[in-house]
Formats: sequence, structure tokens, C-alpha cells
Amino acid sequence: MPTIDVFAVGLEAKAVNLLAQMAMDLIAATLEVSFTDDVAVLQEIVDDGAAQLRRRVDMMADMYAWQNYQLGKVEGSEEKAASQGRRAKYAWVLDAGAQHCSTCLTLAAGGPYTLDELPGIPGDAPTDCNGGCRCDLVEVGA
Amino acid sequence: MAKAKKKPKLRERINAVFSALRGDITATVTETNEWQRFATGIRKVGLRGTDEFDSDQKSMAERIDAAWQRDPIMFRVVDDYDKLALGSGLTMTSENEKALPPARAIWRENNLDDLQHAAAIELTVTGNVFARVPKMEKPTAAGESTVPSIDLIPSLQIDKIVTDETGRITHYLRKWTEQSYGGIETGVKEGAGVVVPKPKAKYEFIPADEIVHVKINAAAGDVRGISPLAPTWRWSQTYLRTLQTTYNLSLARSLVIMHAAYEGGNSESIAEMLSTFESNTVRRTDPQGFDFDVFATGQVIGTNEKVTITPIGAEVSGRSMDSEMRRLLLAVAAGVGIPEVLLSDGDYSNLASSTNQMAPFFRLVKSIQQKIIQLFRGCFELAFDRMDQYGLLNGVVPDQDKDEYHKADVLDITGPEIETTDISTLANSLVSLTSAKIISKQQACEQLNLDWKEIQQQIADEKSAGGDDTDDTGVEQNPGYTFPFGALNHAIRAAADPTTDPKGKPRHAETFKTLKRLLGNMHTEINTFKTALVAAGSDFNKKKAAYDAFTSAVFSKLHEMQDVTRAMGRKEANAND
Repeated sequence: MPTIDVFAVGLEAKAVNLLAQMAMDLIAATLEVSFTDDVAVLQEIVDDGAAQLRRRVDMMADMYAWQNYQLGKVEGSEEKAASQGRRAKYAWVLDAGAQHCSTCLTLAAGGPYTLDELPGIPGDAPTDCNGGCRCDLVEVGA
Repeated sequence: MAKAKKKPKLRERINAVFSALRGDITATVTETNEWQRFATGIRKVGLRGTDEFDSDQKSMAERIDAAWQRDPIMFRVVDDYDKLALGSGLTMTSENEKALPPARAIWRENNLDDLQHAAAIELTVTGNVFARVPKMEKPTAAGESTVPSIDLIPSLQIDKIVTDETGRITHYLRKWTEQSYGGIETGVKEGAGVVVPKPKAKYEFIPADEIVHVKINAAAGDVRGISPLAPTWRWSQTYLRTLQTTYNLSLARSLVIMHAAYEGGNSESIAEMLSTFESNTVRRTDPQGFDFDVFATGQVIGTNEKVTITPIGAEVSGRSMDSEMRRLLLAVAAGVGIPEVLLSDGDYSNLASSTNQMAPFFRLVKSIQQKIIQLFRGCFELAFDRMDQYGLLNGVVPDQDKDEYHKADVLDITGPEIETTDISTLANSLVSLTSAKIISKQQACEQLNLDWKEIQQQIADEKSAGGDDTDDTGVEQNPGYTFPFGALNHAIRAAADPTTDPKGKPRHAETFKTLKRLLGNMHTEINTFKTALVAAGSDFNKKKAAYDAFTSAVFSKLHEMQDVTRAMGRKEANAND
């Protein structure tokens, strides 16, 4: 895993790209009816598209908040460990209330992991659940 | 003692039958073939099998024939039976390529495109259609027509249908009146030049093998059919009379009856005022011949400032919503099988019930279409017989097969499909159209006669109850958490000490407030973006400007969101120290 700051920049870039794509999708939907002068149809399409955009933004914000929360925890743990002259280690903890993908099950069974060994942070790791991952990184042996 | 009449022997009776079959017996017109007059109008069962069409029914047919071109309801029924049954018209095809040229020549030269509609109208108005395909002379000279003629004979001109003793139709007696104008002289003549035609009564016994006759509503043994308008005619007339009366009354009230108020007036001044009015009225006669008094147009009457004159408001209308008038319309509709919605303004109908009512009506119309096709098949059989007689159809079909079927059987005459609008099919079509963004949801709702405002509310309720769980960002909503930030909230609450805040507030309460505020700001930016897109219309530059403004505003919120949640995570990492 790259340094915390580099990782944070990467997270932000991905979120920005996703948001830009969502906005462009809405514009694309309106372009399909730009050949008509039917304002009612355009209004309806924009209303529907905006409602969908709102839902997608909510989902994205939820994912983004979790990712940065996990990143912040790792950052805090690394700072603390560095000040204590040790290396922090993290367990990949499954969310008790969620369904788990097979990748997360494998990650949870392995570990604990140092920062270098972590494949990523929950929500931005190469797991089958992608951005929906709500697993937790918990420092162990602190 | 009078000698008893000798009863014919069996042999003589059999001979008589065979003679009839051979056509030896001259057709006789029996009494039962006349337009008989029955006191009660009820048919006698024993007279069935011959042309028994009593004078009451003939006069009814004449009334309908006169009325349908003036009565809007009757016209609507006739027009619907014709246009719905035939629509774009009958189609004639054949897999036998040699049959098509002569068939098409017959179709073209006899203008069967128009004739089919005339036949449908005739069938509806009288219950019968008589088409004549006369025998033709052998064409000898070049240029002579080789196409037999097909003509419709008005049903009311068929005065008698002649049958022999076995009930077999032998002739049709046609009676009609022609207007003879004498010789026609071209060029400009002097004088008034009024040409008075001389009516000439004509009659003709047409052989049965020249006539194709189709009928509807004919019971077993009936020679003629009955029009579906026959039982409804009087109800239609009653409806129109009621409508006319209502209209007249309303009109008269609005023209004649006025309210005059005399402020502070006594009986003398009021009497004087009334006298002034009466002396200023004129007498008019309405189209029905009733007299009424009214102020003449443009008339000025002088009174004084204390008098106020107000015409009595009267609604001039013939609303179908009046229960009596609606019942009259229902009687007409029931008689002809047409749904009420086709005869009214549709106040009482909704799409679903109207669609259900139309289904049996369309089946009825389909049967009319089949009758016209049957007529055409009969006409083509006769026409092909005429042509075949002179070898004009050689090679159309192999002659050796002619005993198995008629040459006209190679023709395929079909009518347009008559389908009702099935609600489920319509709904599926409308879903496709809205998905393709060809029509709006509002327009689709109007097609289905749904209230758009109710549908909007329903959509909003469904969305707030929970929309899609997935989208193409690949983010699946985690079940069990409120949304958004539910998982984050849960993680904080699940910490060992959820209330480390010295004031006892839930940890990170301010952070969550900030997150919700930031998300609310993003929603506001979405609304602004939406408005800008609609205003932009088809202007791409404006759309791009709206996009730039939206993304710029929202990216800053994202950055702020990252800062606060990252800070939250750092605090949590150190919280367990």
C-alpha cells in the first residue's frame, strides 16, 4: 500500500471521477431528447436523472466517508506506532451485520497485516464487494 | 252433391317435383311473395321459406333509409359499421399469378373499392345486399370489354323474391322509377329552360343466377335479413325529439323570459313598465312553427334608472348527462351493439370499461366484414363464370380440376384486422415508449386515463421507501444500516466507549452533522444543475457550463468530507489509548 497521503489523493481522484461521470450521464440523458422541443419530456427526463444522481451521490458519499474513516484510523495508528518505535498491525474484521464476499472472508482469515501487507483499505481494496465493503481495520497488539 | 276435388296421385306429385327441378314450371308469383300487410305485424310461421316481408317491415326499412342520412345517431352507427368493418378496405391476393390480372381488372373496372363501402352501408341500413352480375355478350370486336359488370341493387327496389313450389329462388323482381329527361341538347338556349323530368316506373325479373344476396339477422327460413337499426330507430327519434325540445325550451327561456326589477316601484309603476315592454315586443315563429314574443334585435327600450332588466339565465344544451336522455342513448346503443362511449361525450366512461365494452362490438363488426367478403366471393364466382364461358380464363387453373373447385377459389379476399386496444398491450407499449424517451410518463398516464398527480405521488412514495440497491458504481447498499453514513455511525456507536465527550454527547456528533450538511449542499448543487440543464435546452455550451459549475462546487464538498472523516478516523485510532 502506498503512503497515506498518496492513498488519500488516489481516493479523492477516484471519487471526483465517479462524480464527474454521474454528472455526464445526466447530460447524456438530456442529449437524447434534444432533437425534440418537448419541454415536458426534457423536464421529466432531467427530474428522473437528477433523482437518480441524488441516490448515486448518497451512495458515493457513504462509501467515501467509510474509506476515509478507515484511512484516518490507519493514519492515527501508524503515527502512534511510529512514536512508540514499533510497527502497527491490522486485522481485517468482518462487519457482523453484513454479508461477506469471499475475498473479505479470505482476508479476515489471514493477517494481521502491516501497512505494507494490506491490499488496500475496506471500500477501496480489490475485494469482490468493491465500494460496498464495510469491513473494519482494527489495530491489534497495540 | 258437389263432386269432391280429386286429390293428386303420388305419381303426379312426384312428376311435379321433377318438373320443377328441371325448370319446366314457369315461375309463379304466389301471394306470400308480396309485401303483405299483417294487422299485428307478426309473421305467420307457415309462410316461412318464401319472401315474406310484411309492409310494416318494408316501411321501417324505408324510414331507416331516409333517416340515416339526417339523424346523427343513425349515421354514426351506419358509419361505424362501415368504416370499422372495412377500414382500409378489403384486400385480394392469390398464389395463382394468372388469376390476378383478370381479378384485378374486375376489381378496377367495377370500382370495388367504393362498392364495398356501399355494400356495408346497405347491409347495415336494410339488413340485405343484392349484387348483380349480369350475363355478358361474347366480346367480338377488339376493344370490347371482357370484364363482367358488378352492380349493387338497392334492397328496397327488390320488391319480390320469387320462389318456386320447392322454395328455390328463381327470380328477383326489381321495381324502380327512373327520371327521364328526354333528349339532351347542347349549346346555350334562350328562355328559362326548366327541364322537368318524367318519372317512368320500371320493373324487371332478374334471374336468380345473376344475383348474389347476403343478409344479416335472418332467422331460419327467412329470405330477407333485418337491419340492426330497425328496433332502435324509434328510440333514436325519441332522443332527438327530446333533445330538440330541451334546446327549444332553453332558447325560448333565454330570449323571452326576463326579470325586471323596479326599485321602490309600486303596482302602478310596475304595470306601466310591463306595458312598455309588451308594446315593444315583436312576434317571431320558431322552426317548429311555434310563435313567441321577443324583443327585436337592436331594439332600445327606455325606462328609468330604477329599473333593472336581467335575462333569465338558461343553459342551452342537450347534455347527455340527463338521466332520461342517457337512457334513450343506452336503448339505441343496446340495439346496435355499440358501446355507449361511441354515442356520447364519454362522461360516464373510463378507458378500462370502454375497452371492455368495445370487444363484443368489434366482434360484431368483424361479422359484417365477413358478410361483405362473402358477397365479394359470390360476385367473383359469377364474374369468373361469365369470363370462363368465353374462354377468357384459359390457363387460370387447370381445367381438369374444375370439378373439384371453382376457379374463383384461387382468390384470397381478406379484410383488415379488427382488434380492440387491450389494456395490457397498451400498457406494455407505453412502457417501451417511455423507456425510449419518446413520450413522457405524463403522456403515457394520459393514454391510460390515469391521474398524473397521483402517479407522481406514488413514484415519490416508492422512492422514499427505498430505491434500487445497486447501481453501476458497484456500490451495494449494506443491508441493515440507515443510509447514508449508517455504517460509519454504527462503527462509532459500537466503540467501547461511545460517550467520551465530556458533556455526554455521542462521539463525533458534530462530525456527523458536518457530513450531513455537506451532503445537503451536494443535493442543492444537484438541483441547481438540474435547473440549468432544463434551461439550457439543446444548447450544448450551456450544458457544459452547468456541468463545470456543478462539478466545481461538489468537488470542494468532497474534499471537505475527506478531511472530516479522515480526522474522525485518526481520533478513533487514538481513542483507545
